[in-house]
Amino acid sequence: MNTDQPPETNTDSVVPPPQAESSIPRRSRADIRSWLTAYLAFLLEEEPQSINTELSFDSHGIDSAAAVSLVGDLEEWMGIELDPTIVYDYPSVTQLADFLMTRQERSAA
Amino acid sequence: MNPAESTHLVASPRAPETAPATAVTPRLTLQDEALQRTQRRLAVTMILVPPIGVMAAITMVITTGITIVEIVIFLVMYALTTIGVTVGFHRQFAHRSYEARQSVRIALAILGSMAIQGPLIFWVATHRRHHQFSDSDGDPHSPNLHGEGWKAWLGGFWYSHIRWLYAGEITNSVRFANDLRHDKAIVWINNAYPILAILGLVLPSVAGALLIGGWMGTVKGFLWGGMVRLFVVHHAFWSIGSFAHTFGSHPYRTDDHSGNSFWLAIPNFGEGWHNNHHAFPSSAFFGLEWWQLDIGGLVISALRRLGGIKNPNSPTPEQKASKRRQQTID
Repeated sequence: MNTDQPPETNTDSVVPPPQAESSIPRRSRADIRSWLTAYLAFLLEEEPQSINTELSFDSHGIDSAAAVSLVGDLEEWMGIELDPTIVYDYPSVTQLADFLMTRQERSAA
Repeated sequence: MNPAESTHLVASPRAPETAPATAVTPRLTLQDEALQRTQRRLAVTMILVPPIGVMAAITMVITTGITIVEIVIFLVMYALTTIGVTVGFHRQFAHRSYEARQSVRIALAILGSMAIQGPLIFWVATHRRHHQFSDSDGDPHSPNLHGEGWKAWLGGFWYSHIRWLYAGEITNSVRFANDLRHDKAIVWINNAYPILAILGLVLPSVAGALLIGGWMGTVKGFLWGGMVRLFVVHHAFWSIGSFAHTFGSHPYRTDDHSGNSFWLAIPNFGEGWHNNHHAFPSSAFFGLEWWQLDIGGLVISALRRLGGIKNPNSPTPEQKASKRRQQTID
């Protein structure tokens, strides 16, 4: 049993980023890349080192369920609202990280 | 070991370059309006259509009677799809409680899909989440989390039997069934779910056309091997979420309300030994005493003798003794 989960699962869906914005630290580009790489590594059951950050998510075999999961977790981790389509609009770790950096700046302004 | 317990992954500490080590735990459920709408529509269809078919079948029995052929078509389709769910979806894919040849796995996955309880990967993810959170917050279909009093009790029972299918959130298969998402044949069968669901209705219709004859035979085959069969199989399995977490005996200590009941184990081929199952989730056999009828377990024994599967897990006498309660009065 893991205890690191928030126990409520039926209520946190209503407001995507449940934490107050101030409680989430600003993420660096390296942080974001590392997070995305770790997520891809989990999805693909591979080591983070072997993830090609320039390759498109599509060629990694990321389907729509995986995209929804990834974007939902990203929203929570960064404390910003995101559109599920960003995975297709910015289809690699590098591109998505760049987009998220600008998106983060905008929501902080 | 239940695979779900090992799915919350901590990324390798050797993260690339300057970045600090990152731990990633995918979310429990997918919150996506479009997915949720599709889910709701499919669930409501699968809940409402079979009862209409049952009423039509009853009407036809009154007007034209029933023969042994319809009953045989019903029983054969019932047995095949129930084996697909309990031996395949549940004991093989969700718990990996035995090793099987790929041909056996594929056959079981196809039969289970014809039971119309959702696509394989969805089913497995939901079930593994159920085990991880059984009867506590996070359980997709617990009857015991809905408050005090008889109204809450009834509401909880209804939720765990049917309502969770359309009102619940979709379990994240990335978190709970990532292993199956990498199995090409399984993904193919998962995605072919709509075709396989329809195949489960076409087969008995064809059998009716051949064995009874004419349009009347086709309709009777469809109703008895399709609709009535779906109705009974659905309730036999939904009862595990509702009845088996409310009633029954508790010979083993578990962290939930799972109970054993003989009468429930008959229609769903052994699933009714639900306290046994929660005590020993990786056991291929749900009946753990000689008198605990477990048809799914018998199928596994038979398949092993035929060479289709091997190494079915079962608890040792010591493991059983260590989890057994002193007195089974509750």
